[in-house]
Formats: sequence, structure tokens, C-alpha cells
Amino acid sequence: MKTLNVYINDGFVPMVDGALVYHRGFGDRPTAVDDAAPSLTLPPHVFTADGRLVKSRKYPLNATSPHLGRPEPLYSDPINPGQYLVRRAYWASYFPERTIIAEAGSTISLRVHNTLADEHELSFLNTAPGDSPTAIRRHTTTGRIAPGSSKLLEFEAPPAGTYIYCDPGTSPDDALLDPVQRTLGLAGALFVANTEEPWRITPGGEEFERQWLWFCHDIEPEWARLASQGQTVDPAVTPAYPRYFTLNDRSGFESLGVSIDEALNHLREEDTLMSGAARQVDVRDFSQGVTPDTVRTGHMMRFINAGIVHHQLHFHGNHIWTVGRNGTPFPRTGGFIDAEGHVVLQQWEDVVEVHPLDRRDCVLPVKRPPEATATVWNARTGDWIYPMHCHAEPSQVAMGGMYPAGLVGHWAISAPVDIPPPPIPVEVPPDGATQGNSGTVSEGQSP
Amino acid sequence: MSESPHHLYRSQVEFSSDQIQEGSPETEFLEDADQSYELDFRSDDMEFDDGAEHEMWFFETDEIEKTFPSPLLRLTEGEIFHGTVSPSKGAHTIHWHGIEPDPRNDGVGHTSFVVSGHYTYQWVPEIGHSGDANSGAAGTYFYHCHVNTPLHVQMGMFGPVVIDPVVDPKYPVRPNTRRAFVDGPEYDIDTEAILIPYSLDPRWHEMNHAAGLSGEDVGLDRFEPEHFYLLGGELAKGPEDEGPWQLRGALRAKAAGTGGAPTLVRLLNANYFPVDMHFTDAAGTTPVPMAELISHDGRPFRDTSDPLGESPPIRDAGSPLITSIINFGAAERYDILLHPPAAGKYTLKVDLLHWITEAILFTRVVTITAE
Repeated sequence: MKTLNVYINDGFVPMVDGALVYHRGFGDRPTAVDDAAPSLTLPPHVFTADGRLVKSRKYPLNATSPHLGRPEPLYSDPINPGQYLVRRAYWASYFPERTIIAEAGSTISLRVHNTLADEHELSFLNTAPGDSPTAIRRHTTTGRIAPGSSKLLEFEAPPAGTYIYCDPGTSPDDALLDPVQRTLGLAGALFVANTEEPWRITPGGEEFERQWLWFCHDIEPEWARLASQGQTVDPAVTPAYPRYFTLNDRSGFESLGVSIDEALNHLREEDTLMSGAARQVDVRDFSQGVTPDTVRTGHMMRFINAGIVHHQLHFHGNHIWTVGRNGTPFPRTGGFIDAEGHVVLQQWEDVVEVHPLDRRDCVLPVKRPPEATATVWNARTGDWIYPMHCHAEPSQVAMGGMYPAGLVGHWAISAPVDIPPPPIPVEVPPDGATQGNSGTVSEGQSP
Repeated sequence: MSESPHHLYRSQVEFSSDQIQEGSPETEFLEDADQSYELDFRSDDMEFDDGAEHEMWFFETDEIEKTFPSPLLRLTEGEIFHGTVSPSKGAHTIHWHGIEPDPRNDGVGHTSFVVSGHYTYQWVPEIGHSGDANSGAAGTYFYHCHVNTPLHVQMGMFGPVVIDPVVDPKYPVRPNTRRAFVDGPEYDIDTEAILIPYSLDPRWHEMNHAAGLSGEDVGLDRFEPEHFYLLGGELAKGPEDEGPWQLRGALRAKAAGTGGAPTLVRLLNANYFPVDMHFTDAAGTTPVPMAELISHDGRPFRDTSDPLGESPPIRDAGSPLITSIINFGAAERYDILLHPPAAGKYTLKVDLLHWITEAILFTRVVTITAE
């Protein structure tokens, strides 16, 4: 079994406006506060079920990499003009910095070194069983690590899903109560893969073409300034006033992949900005096969909010289909409203609430936008790009201005491509699996 | 249809200040409209029910002028919609939130263009089919300017959109009722209402259209509401006067057991912060589970457990989503039926919560009178 060395470092990170803001973080090598490129985030690593530790941004490890993150379709869809049949269980997904990937059945082994002058902790929230199957899950933690010391943390991968790791500060039992250390940057994501069925969210759960992990965060420069001077940040004395809002550690034009840094743009396309061919999905069954090697499904979104504000992720172009929250799959039947007033049922949404420390799983269908007229749809030649942004609008600026400079992204329906239909006859799927505006299969170009 | 421009930028401020301006772009593949609205931009001072006066920005039509929120737009699934924006002052767009047309008609500045002359947005709401979870646009939406959005939406540049369903012969409607979606429940047209929580920070209402876009810190990340309003009212009546259309503390509902259809209330959170809604008895002390959630963000709650069969509305599958509390955040919508257990008075308490601390910032109370 291999162990991943994790270093609790600090340093200064350039924001979207060029300002350098003090951060703390979990890095993969020791760096000093004045390092020009401090190590404050972990590059993705995979703990495999057979005991290996592999540095990889992609998972599954042996799957085909989609160029610029965009899976190519296999066939045109003969019964949904302008849409395509996508490959089943074929494409790898790229994961962003801060992601630790663990296969189901693996052991996660970390040696955590504290290079800073005060105590810190690395806690994997909700990764240990609770007192009963229905009780709140416990955390797996190093406990406090003294300055200059290190601790070994080993634990079995929890059930498939996403989790948050962070320094819970003064509140190890309930990390919500002390957001300071994670706001300073001491946070990340654990993704536990469903090894038996890597293209399903959980065993028997929803199938997808590829998946995307979105790590939402908020940066509070005044807290950072105080911390950089060795002062204790007390939110009661210095109420939080976040001024930068990030998606996978980038904001604004850098998040949207339109900076002159082509390498960064490339990364954004691979791990943050969803794109793919239009396809018809049927929310009753994301495993509906069309041919043996194709499936009617979309992209799985793994939203994680390690920040301190209530984010409201709004997708243009397609509603998204919510399948679970905080490790609990939503039912398709029955359903209820929980004690906080939230609906627990699989459902369509165009704005997804992601509370602080929440994890949400949703399917982006990547389907024909339903309100586009048939003529416009059939005439398209290029990508159709749609924004995603947080609708808690103060998160859409940086340092009080420069809209859109905050937690933004976009997704794209790729341009039509000239590929043939499947060589074998295709059964007409059950009612509801075809689409054209006005409820009919529209006349259009043959892709 | 050309690919969206993919310019590269050296800095955020260059990106923010480089809005793609087109004076009066052409609507591609324009079709004959079934519903057409002209939406002009205007600004004016408005006095609210707490006596405060604020400068508001809003859209208006020939028929409905100087109201806030901007006029309700209502159409039926399958109808070609045209919304022509004529900003006249500054550059604006209209984004049809939850409606999903092509990018040119989506009304977002940085993925299409901003309009300084005029532009006709065109889309057609998708027709729903009974038992089908994959189609249908009937529900509650809103439109808003998507230029310097935090400021322009706070200034008031938004209004509700209601999409009505087509009538399926299998689901006829009785007189004085309508269905919320094609196979949805009938509701009482006379008492149908919209309720829009909206909070206001007066500091923001002193800014200019382009505040912050050139890189200056104008504090658009510091929203400190000093007022909290419940906008809207009964749709059949609409706003009776110019100025803010406010609930003014009262809502009618059809009581259970009257034999008629229940009241439908359309909820739209136009805040940047979350709200809690509590339904209680008249004294405000005992929760009353009288709200049935039937749709969210323009889509019905359905039972989708049969991978090959029908997906009936969740209420028809034996699991109505009934509650005394609803928590929802910015830009979300819920369509709810009210089921007061008996005639009489009830209380709806609406709390505005801080987006970080969840502290209750303001509370508004509405008396629901069940008839």
C-alpha cells in the first residue's frame, strides 16, 4: 500500500484581478510562504483497489481520454435529427486539483505534514459510519497536528460518492461551525469511484457518459490578511465578507477558458467546461440502450460547496436532473419534504441549491434545448454555448466589480458532425425518448 | 448559425469591459408570432408600502406601464413567442430564466450580444404530454436583464413569465379552473397568485448602469438589504396602480371541502439570499401543512420509477409533497397548491436569511383567508 504525502503549506495566490491573496492549503510538497509557486492544492491521485497510488487527472485509468474533455458521439441518432448516440462505458473523466480519487475497496493512506506555525488537522467529513445506518456519518481525521509534526491517516474508502476534506478548525465535530481554515484554503474533495461499474454513480445507480467535479469556494481577503499576520480570525469579530468566488479554483474569464493562457484554457475545457454532442435522454432510465455500445444518457455533475455562502447554480440551455444530495440517493417514487423544507425526490431544476459543505449530484442531459425553434435548431453549424452561473448574484463579481468575474462557467452542445447512423436497426424507444419542439420529431438535416 | 466568438482576454477587466455590442441585431429565422410583447426600458422613483422611495429600473409594455416587478408575460405551450427589447437608455438584454432557446435568444451579453437599439427574442415553449417527465414547459419562470446582472436585477429589471399547458382531452378543465401543467391538478383561476420575495439595498440604487465594469470596486459583492418586500398578488387582478405591486399582507385561498379547485400560488425568489416560508395557524404558533408542492423551476414533480411506463404527477402516485415549511434560494420557483383544512385565517411567515450566517434578516407576514 502506498502513502500520499500531504503538506500543510501557506503562500500567496493570484486572484482573477491579479491581486495576491494569502492562502493555506494541502499540497504535495513542502513550500515556504514566499515561494513563487506554493504547493497549496493536491494534484489528483488515485488510490486503487489493488493497493497502488497513481498520479492521474483521469479516471478510469485505462479509459480513453476525450480530446479537450469533449466525448465524441458514436453514431447519429436516426430518430432524433440533429442528435447523436453516445458511447457506453468508454470515456475517461478529468478531475480538478484538490481531488483525491479512491476506488471502492481501496485503503486511503496519507501522511500529513504540518509545515505551519500553528496546529492544523485534516478531516474527511462524513466518511465513517454513524452509530446506526440512519445516523449522521462521522468524520475520519488526523486530529490536531502540531507545528512541524506529521501524522499518518489510513482508512478504508467509504461508499462510492463525493466527500469534502478540510481543516475543521475549532469545531472538529461540526465543520460548519468554524469555516475559517477551509476558507483560507484548507479544503478539497474525495471522490470514491464505483469500481464495479465506473460509469454509474453508485452500484445500480444512474449511468453517465462522463462526469465533472465542481469545487465551489469563496475567498475572504480580510481573513487572509489577518491569518497572514499570525492573528486568529474570529468570525464574530470579523464577519465574513468574501470577495472572490471560484469554481475549481478559478473565477471569471479564467474560469470560462478565455484568457490568453492557452494551457489554462485547455485545462478548463478538460475538467470544468462540459461539452458534448446533443443526445436524447430519458430521465426514467439513464441506461436505456440503443445499440450494445451506446446509451441514452448525459453527464454526471458532482457539485461540492466548500465555501461559506449558499450557492445557487443556474444552468442555461438545459434543466438538470438532481439524483442525490450528501451521499443520499433521491428516490424516484414517494419522496418527501425534509425538516428544512427541501424536496427529497429526483427532479428537474434549473437552479440547484448547494449549501455550504453540501454535495449534490445531478445529470446534465446535453439535449436539444427545448425552446429553440425547429428551424433554428436544424440550421445550426457551430457549438451552442450556454452559461452556468451562481444566481446568488454578489458571487458574480470580484472585489466588488468586473462582472462576470466570479463563480461562472459554461457548457456547450457541440457542432453537428457528419457521422452515420448505427449499422444495425434501431428500435424505437419507449414513449418519451424522442424529442422535437412541439412534441414531434422535427424535420431537419441529416447529420 | 455561427459559432460563438471565442476571443481571448489579457485580464478580467478587459473581459468585463468588452461587451459584445450590437445595435439592432436581426432575429434569425423569424417566424410569425402567436404572442408578442414590446418591452421598453424605463427608470423612475417608486414608493413602497413601508414608505420608502427607491429609484427602480423596469421594463414596460404599451398596456402596463411603470410597475414593479415588470409586466407578467403569459402564453401557452407551443406558441411562438416574440419579446422585443428596446433599451433606449444604455445597453441591456433579456434572459428568459428557465426557458431554453438557442444562445442568440438566451439573452446573455457575454455569450451572444447586448442590445442598444432593439432586438426581438424568439422561442417556443415545449409542449408537454401527460405522464411524460421528458417534455413540457408549463410552469413559472421569469425574465431579467443579463447585463451587469447583480446590479440590473436588483434595480428591478425582472418580471414573471407563466407558461400554461395545452389542454389534453384526457384532462379537461372545468369552468373557472385551469391546470398547472398538462396532466396537473386543476386550480382556481380567481385566486391564482404569485408571491415574489425581494429585498433591497438602497446603496445599490445609487449606481450607474456600468458600475464596476471598468474594474472599480463598487461593492457589488456587499449586499446589505434594508428593506424586504413581498411582491405580487392575484394574477386575475394584476397590478391595479402604477408602482410596486405588493401583497400587502393578505392572500385568499380556497378552503378544503368546498368542492372547488384549490388555490395555486407561484413562488419566485427574486432575492440573492434564501428564504424560509412557514405556514401556521392564525396565531403563528402551530405549523399547518397546507402547502402542496407540485412543480419546481417549471417542471412538475413526477414519479419516474417505471422505466418504460408513465410518469404520473407525484400527487397522483399517492405521494403528494405536503409541507408547512419551504426553504429556497435565489431564482428558484415553486408552484404550490394551498389546502387550508377549513375556512378561516392562517399565517404565512416569510423569513429572509443571510446568505452566510443564515440569520433571519427580515420577516414579512401574510394572512391567508380561506373561503
